[in-house]
Amino acid sequence: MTTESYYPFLAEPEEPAPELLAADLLQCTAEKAREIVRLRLEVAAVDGDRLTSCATALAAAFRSGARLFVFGNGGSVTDAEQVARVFAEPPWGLQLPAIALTDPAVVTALANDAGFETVFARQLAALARPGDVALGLSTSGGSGNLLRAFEVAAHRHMITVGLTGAPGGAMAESGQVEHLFIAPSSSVHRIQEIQATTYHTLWELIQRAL
Amino acid sequence: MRRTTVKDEMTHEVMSAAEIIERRALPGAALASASATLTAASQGMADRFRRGATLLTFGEGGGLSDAHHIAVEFVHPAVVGTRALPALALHPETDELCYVRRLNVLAGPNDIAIGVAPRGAEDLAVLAGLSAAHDRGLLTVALTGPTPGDLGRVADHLVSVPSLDPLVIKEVHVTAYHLLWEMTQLFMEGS
Repeated sequence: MTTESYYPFLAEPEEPAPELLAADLLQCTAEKAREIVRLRLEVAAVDGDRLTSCATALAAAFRSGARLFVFGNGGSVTDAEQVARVFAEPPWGLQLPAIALTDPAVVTALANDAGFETVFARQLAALARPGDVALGLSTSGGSGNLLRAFEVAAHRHMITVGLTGAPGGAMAESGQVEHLFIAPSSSVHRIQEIQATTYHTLWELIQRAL
Repeated sequence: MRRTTVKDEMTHEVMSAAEIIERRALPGAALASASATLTAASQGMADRFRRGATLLTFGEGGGLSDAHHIAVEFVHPAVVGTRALPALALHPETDELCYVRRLNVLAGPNDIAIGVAPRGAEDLAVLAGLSAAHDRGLLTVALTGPTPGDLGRVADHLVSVPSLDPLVIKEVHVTAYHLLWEMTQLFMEGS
């Protein structure tokens, strides 16, 4: 009889069986899938009324001929393109004028010549009219080029909408975003997932208000 | 403003933000049951990345922007300290063979292909692309809406979303590929 068999709890712990590790991973994955469901419902509870009032304001703007300009960095570029697509080519309802400021030729030209901070601000300065809508998407709320864009937007009397992650970052502190929605998470991935629901919900509320 | 195909009763019905958001709950919760698929896909992807694979992504409709989102997640991860991996979103054209052509010149048998097809097999370019990728030996992953159809034949791993709303399908897809990314990183930690 070995020491291990007399006192099995003293033996060196073995590597957990692969099946156990896989089970942990499955559990963790399932839990994350459920977490985003909860976070979305939290957004509904906390921001539902403000989403509705934002949609009312935007619907009025669209009725007056406003265009929506949407922008962001990295993954938020793809979100900006989705926003423009949903508004301009909706699955149902009215087609609305929406433009994502994501053309790589324009963005890189501005970045190269005038600095990355200017890439959205300059496009708004060139394209936007008073009463148009500026929608900035960020997970940190700290991107310099978004902050500059909102400065221009405010100066141009645009309606400003911002989506950011908790705790809000400079976008929240700037006071320049009229309709600010802070996703209740600090995880970049969960923030992006929440924001997709947020802008889709805003779109649908606008359609139902028009 | 031009009106497109309208579900008239839907557009004139007043609905609260909460009611709209609650429609995400069931399809989102259903992703929990895809965790085995996501885990297996991630393990397969990690194995291939270890052998020098490149991830090629493509999509249709709402899936177009997802293809780019997936590529940026892998090539420049948002989470500090994680591994940058080679990934590329394929450029779309207007015909259904557009991804087949790009794969022909860019893809090797050790690579990975992710296709995002909210309309399932009706997204013909994604179907053709994943089929060609499958034939060439790539590891193929499909993200679809509620009816994958023939995509099930050409995807090694497939996640479908039980919703008729393309916006909801897309939202669930984002979580699906975030989880794929995260687990691929985990499986690669051992190497």
